[in-house]
Amino acid sequence: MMTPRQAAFRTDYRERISPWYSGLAHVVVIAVLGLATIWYCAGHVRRPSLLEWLVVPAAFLACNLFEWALHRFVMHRPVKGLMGIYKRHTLAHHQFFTDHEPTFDTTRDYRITFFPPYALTTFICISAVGGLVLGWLWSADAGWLLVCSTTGVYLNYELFHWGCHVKDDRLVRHIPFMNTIRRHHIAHHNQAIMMEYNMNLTYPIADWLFGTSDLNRGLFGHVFNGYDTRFRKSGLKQARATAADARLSAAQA
Amino acid sequence: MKHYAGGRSLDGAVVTVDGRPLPPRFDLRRLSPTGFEWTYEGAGPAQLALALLADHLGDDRRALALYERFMRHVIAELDNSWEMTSADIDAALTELAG
Amino acid sequence: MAAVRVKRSLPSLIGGIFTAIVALVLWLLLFGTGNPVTIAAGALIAVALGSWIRLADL
Repeated sequence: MMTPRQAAFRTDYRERISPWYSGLAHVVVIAVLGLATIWYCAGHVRRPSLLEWLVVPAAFLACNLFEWALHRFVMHRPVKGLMGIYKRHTLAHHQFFTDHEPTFDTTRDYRITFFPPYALTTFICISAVGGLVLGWLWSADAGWLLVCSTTGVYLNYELFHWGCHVKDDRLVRHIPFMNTIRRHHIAHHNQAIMMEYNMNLTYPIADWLFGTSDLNRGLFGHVFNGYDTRFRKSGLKQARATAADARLSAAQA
Repeated sequence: MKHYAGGRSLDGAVVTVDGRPLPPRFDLRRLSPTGFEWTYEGAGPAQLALALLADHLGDDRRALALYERFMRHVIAELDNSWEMTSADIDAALTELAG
Repeated sequence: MAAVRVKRSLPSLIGGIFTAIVALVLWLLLFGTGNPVTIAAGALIAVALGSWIRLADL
């Protein structure tokens, strides 16, 4: 059940969305850019050895750690020079979506759900540099596999994150990994713990590793937890001093 | 009795005292160049703790002596949108002293 | 219909230009640089994409 504050924020935010914005176009652009990158890179992979194929799981794990760190130290902290990311996330995304109401209503709400396309192109460029270095140090196949993997993980993230915020979960609740991250991420939208817990957005591996999960389970239990709430840690932070009149404006004369 | 309120919005993490912006008191200590934050332990919450205590106590030395504990025990647990009065701060300081 | 108060951000401008460049590079890598018509099409798509990102204030 949405609070008046959350409802007021949603109304205000939606009024500010450009009439040129299209949620469908947003998703198509991300998908086309991502898949085109993977297509191009995959086309250059020749005959990787077993060792070179290990770049894929290694990249997957590195991305998992990167996703955790970016969320924990940049998206949820006001860092000079990176304030735009914090504003868009903590001050907008987390005001639009809370654990009381974590779902979007229309495709125009994709504006606050998906990253802008230049986030993907930035990550592709960073990966490309990594791919070049790996290609120079090791082999071309290793380099191409790296870029394929990182771009694939990014698209994975966008799909899973959409699954976290979609209203109708009749399918998502039965899909392994997606159901896990949906529960994990909605719990993260609890404003009492959002600044410190449940920072993974695809698979809760880094959260398990660094103890920043709201669950008390092993790695396997974390990844295959689904919607299970039996293993929630007791003693998690409870927010205090909640404003009695939780309207959008902080000033109450 | 002063009334302090804080909330996160598109305008930032804004804190007021009786409806006016709470001075961050960078003159005492510049802990967070990006201003206030809360619900965790860090630079932004520390700046908020210092600013709140300096305003409430009217005693900069005491504020500097107490802000770190106040941050850990109060600011780190504040809700997304919060409010507290001078009496609330006094009660929290008494609890910390005990 | 209420007036839309859209205040476009700097990231949408810089991001739009950056994405347009990356999209063009990707297009040329995929379709080659041999045919001027192909290059022109890629440039058109890249400019359209960058412009839309800016107009949509993404």
